[in-house]
Amino acid sequence: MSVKKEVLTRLYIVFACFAILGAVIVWKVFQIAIIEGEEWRSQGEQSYVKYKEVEAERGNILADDGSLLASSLPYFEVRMDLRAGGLDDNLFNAEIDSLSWYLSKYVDRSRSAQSWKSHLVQNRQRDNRYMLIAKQLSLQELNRLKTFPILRYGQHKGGLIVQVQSRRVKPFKDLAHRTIGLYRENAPSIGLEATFDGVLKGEKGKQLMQKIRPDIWVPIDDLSSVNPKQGKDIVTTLNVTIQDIAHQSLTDALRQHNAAFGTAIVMEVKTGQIKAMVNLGKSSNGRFVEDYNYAVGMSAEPGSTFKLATLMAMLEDGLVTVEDSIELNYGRPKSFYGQSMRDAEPHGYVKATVKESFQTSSNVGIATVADKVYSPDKGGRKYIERLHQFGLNEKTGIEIEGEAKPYIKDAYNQDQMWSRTTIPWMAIGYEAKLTPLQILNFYNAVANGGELMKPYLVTEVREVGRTVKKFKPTVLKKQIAKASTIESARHLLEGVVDQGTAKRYKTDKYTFAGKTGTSVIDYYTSERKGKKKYQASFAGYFPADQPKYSVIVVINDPGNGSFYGSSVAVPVFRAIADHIYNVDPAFHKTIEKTTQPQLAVNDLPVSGAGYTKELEEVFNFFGLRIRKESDGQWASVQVRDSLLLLTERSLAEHTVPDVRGMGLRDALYVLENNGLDVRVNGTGKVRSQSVLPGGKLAGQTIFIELN
Amino acid sequence: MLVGKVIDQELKGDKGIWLILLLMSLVSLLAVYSSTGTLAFLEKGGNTSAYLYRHAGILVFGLFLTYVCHLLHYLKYARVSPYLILIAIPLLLYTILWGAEINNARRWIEVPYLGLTFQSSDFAKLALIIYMARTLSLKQDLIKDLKKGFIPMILPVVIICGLIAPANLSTAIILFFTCAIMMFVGRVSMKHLGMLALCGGFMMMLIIGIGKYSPENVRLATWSSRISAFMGETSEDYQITRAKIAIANGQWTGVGPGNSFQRNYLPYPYADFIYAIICEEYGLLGGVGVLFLYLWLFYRCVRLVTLSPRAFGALLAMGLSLLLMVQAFTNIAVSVNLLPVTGVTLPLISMGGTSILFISITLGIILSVSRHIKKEDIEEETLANESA
Repeated sequence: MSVKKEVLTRLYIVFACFAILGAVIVWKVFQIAIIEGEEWRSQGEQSYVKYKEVEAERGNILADDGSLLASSLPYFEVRMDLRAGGLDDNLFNAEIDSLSWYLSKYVDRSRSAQSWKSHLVQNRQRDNRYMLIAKQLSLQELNRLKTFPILRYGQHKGGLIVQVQSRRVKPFKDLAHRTIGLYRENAPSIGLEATFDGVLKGEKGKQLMQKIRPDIWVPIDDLSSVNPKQGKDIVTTLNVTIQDIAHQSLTDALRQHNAAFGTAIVMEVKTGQIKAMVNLGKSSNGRFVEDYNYAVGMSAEPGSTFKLATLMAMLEDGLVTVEDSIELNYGRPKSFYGQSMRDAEPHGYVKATVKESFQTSSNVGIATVADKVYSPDKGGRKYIERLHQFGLNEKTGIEIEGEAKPYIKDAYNQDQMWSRTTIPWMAIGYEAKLTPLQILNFYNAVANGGELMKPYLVTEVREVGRTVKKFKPTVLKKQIAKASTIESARHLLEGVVDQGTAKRYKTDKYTFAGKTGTSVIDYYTSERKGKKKYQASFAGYFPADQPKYSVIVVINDPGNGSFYGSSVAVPVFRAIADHIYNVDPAFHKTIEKTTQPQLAVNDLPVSGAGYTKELEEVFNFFGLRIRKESDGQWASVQVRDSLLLLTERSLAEHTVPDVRGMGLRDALYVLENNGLDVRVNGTGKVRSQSVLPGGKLAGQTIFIELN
Repeated sequence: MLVGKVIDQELKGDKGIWLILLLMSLVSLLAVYSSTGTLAFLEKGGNTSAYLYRHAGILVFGLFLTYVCHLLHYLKYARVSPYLILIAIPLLLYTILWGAEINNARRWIEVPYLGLTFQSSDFAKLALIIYMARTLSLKQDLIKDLKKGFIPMILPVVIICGLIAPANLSTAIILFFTCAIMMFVGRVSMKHLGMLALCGGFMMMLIIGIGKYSPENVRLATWSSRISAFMGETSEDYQITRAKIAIANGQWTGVGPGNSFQRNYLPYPYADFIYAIICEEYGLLGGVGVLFLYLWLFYRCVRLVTLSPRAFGALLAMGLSLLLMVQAFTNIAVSVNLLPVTGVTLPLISMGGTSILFISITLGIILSVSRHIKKEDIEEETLANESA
């Protein structure tokens, strides 16, 4: 065989082999694609693609000034794929010890490094591809964890699996906790979180996911994918500062009186906006926390605050005038149809007008008139009708679930145990049940000239900062009573503060009106045990002449001796009203000229001393009246009555100057110009100087203390 | 036509091979663009065109390299081939000991100052094939002689393959096999070839033995798991299942360019499993078409040998095209589950930086041969003349 022939023969054999191999491959492709095609295709469709729900970010709840009351923060759950592709034995064995050490030091301290190690090793042997490492990590904690041995290699090599979740946070912690509510997945949500869930929750998205490697799902573009829609924000009427003040003063009062629970609500008279709603109950550890929405959910016998409704009903019917006279007999027990009634607070009246009985909160007085007016001729019908007219039998409709319906008996309804004693007792606030908010709303209507507003908490719905819905104030009843009745009612309430049970808490700064209440709760049980339980309350508004805010304070079971509404609840009202008075510019019209800023303090500022020209400038700017009694470069300031007196601060030459009362800048200027070496401590104004004024100047060191 | 004229003037050599090369580049571009979706998602934030442009750039540069290489006379390659072998051996040694590790395998060398990495085995393959062609051609007269012909011929094969094997067994086997076929065509006696097979088996055992003592340098575990998966001892490999689903999805005519679904599941769909993606998008017809292109390329090279069976050029073209063929068929055979998973890319089509450039050089040399080789009858061409 020639060389050429041998080469070519062998070459053709090789070529033929390749051709045959090619044919085998084609056959194999044919077999997979056509013969077994159906089977493989169905296997391909089965798994590896799924829809995943994509959680939408929940919207925020904002205060009236836009501060965050509730928001969602992301947190992370970390798991480990102990059989990740790149996590081979070499790597695992090399770094397991240091990883265990880090985990025991930073993640779960209760577990030793040794225990972490054996835990990890066991799970690796069990082929756990989803072992829990840590829950609820913050972003910082997660970032630190990503630097740990093994985990630092990421998902494929280190088996790190990170899952994002979000947590609801309340930056103001317990403030208005029950009103803002709770968003819970495994229990009913409450508060605004529940009512506005539909707005806040957004829309879950749907995303078609493909599995590209074990545990890696990649979203694929598909027409059926739906992006999650972020939840909308709601803007509430709640004012963080008012809420804070109400929270603090109510806490103080509850603690002071060792009470069981309490609530305070602040409402804007004209609109019905709730500016603050505090609900505090004693927790098992004795601290007062927002544990239940008493303001909205707790229906109870209102007590004396209800007397206003009774009187207004009678006034509306023209059956009494405030000047009518009633026999009080020092408030000693009086029998109504065999049931004895007496006044809660002792007084010296034998005979009094209706107005006086109201101001002193005489049970006997009010019950006597009501009994006289309404008991004959089925007059109870008229009484109940009037109460309905005042809207007292209706829910307020606040946007919080669980509002109790007022319990007002139908006239002469035997099923509701209507008896002859019903009218006298109802007149003073028993045999009826209302929530604090419902009572407040009634008082608010009186303050609002008879217009009954719907109390509300949410003013706006926002979508990405843009207002999409606004809630306007809603009028429930245009006029709950005649103008004359309303006027009389307001006089009565002013009388309570001027001459009645709240007299002690009168202030010169502003006027307020309202009614105290002291009701016996758990009437029968507490009577039997000999120790009565009380509920102290105060419902009112301020300023009395042009009411801007109405407030109710209810304190349940004050235990430390004092239980009268006046001494327990009114101080809380005052603390709230004082604060609003101080910060709300509307109360300071007298000194408000043109567009000058307002000083948010009650006392005139006393700047000790300073550069005369600058002092003048500052005081003038705030519209404060000053009297200048010197033309010197430096001046001292003193308060004289309602004006500021500027007197000469003489700085004698060649002696150590008096810089006390000056600000740091002025003090440094004066001292250093006199060649002194100044050492400063503290901030504010100079309180003391180490070298007394009048001493000889010798370039010495002087220490000044500021505070 | 002007274009035709320019092509005629500039592109010397076998026009058929040029055409195959262009068609392959086109297929490569389409398939890579389709299959880099996952990679783009993982690494480039979903920017799939980033990979397209990079790959297109490399292909164009590769074509340029092919053009340059085909201008050089192939005899020049023969002259430098012993030196290439002498460079390849230390390079391989360096790689085994200090090479860059990518995907748990130490196969790469970083070129200082350039930031480029390349597989030293790519260089060694080329060097060895050229050297083999040269030796076969030179020793035609002594070819049946064991001591003077066979032993000197297989020594570099054993050394080079032995050095490649620890980190890259499949490449070593492919290279060894290619050399064996070259020897077979080059008239090495069947007895000697049988010894070569024994030698190969012995080498395998040696490497496995070393692997037992030094697991860091030999990827024994990977091999055994792949082989047992192929033998059906363990559950079928995830990637094989996905590849089969891809092929099944394609049916006769495919799901269309860019519509591959399994590219998202298959590991390295742009390299190891690109044939499955081609089958999915272009169907059985597309798969056959690609096979046909390879066979056609091989046929063009076979034709060169028929022109001048004993010439160095013919053996060189045949050896180089064999290298491509063996690698291509291995890759395809893996995709259709005829062989265990190897990690061998599909030459001319798979994405890959520097390895494409070595393939371009390979084709440049083949084209250079096709350009210069003449019929034996017209010019008796031997290396002896040339090197004298």
